[in-house]
Amino acid sequence: MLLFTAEYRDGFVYRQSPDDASIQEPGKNAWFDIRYKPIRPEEDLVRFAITDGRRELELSLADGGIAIWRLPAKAGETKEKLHQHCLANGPTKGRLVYRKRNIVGFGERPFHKRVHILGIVTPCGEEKIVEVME
Amino acid sequence: MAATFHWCEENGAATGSPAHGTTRNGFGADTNYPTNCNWKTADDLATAASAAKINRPDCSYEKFQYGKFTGTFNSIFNCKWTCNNYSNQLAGLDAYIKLMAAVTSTYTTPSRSVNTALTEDFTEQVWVHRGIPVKFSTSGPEGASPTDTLTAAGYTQYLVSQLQVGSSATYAGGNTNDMYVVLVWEED
Repeated sequence: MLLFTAEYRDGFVYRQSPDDASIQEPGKNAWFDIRYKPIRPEEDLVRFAITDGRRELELSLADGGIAIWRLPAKAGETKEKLHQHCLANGPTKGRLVYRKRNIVGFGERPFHKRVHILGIVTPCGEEKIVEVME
Repeated sequence: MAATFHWCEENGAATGSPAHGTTRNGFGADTNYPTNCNWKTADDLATAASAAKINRPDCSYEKFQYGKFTGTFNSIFNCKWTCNNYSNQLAGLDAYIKLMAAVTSTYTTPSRSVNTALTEDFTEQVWVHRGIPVKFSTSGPEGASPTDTLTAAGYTQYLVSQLQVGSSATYAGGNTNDMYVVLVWEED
């Protein structure tokens, strides 16, 4: 199971619980606390990451960079930037994108696959995302 | 928790307004979810396909399937459906055997006559990302004014399909290869 962590400018860290419950409203999920009723202003988000304990997909909201990191990190291992946007013009900031794509199949062997989509909408309106299978 | 999904199917004569099936497998609190999506000459869940074969010229009963969403989510959107995601074997069987489909909020009593309103041809494989767009309603698959986004427990529109076997079909008979009815959606 992939769970997210959101880190804010003031040092506050929001961790999605395994039961994916909002800490504000019963019946809502944890993402509700980030996007729909933000527990901190969304523009104060500096880092958003999802992890299954073996690997982490980290998004830096400060520069729009995304990196995949195996856990625990090996000595000397550096994060691999999958994309950077507008860095030629200095650090920029995009709006967080996080959603899940579900694919359910009905047939001889029914299946349900879930793909996590993480990225940013850049200041120029372009969606830059990466996808990770759960 | 994420959204919880179940396949559902309705059978029998149209009833109510807006119309829905007399038998609503999986609707509301019902948990009699279908366990297969065989096209056959019986309009129910119980009859085995082997006991309800389609002979030429004939059609299967139209299948009125749909999806039910419960659980915890904020919104569900970007939904598409295909009823032949993984196999193009059907086309290889016989050019006069077709799998036709449509997405609609209108239930009609399932029939074995050729339904010309099923305009989407799934005879050959269609990947789900190129499938038919699907809308939602919180009241049921028959709900009026379905929406592109679902923000509370609810249902997809009806996903209607029919296997049509023409009089010129020459296929010797038997089961088709495995096929998959597939639904994709995004949620947050």
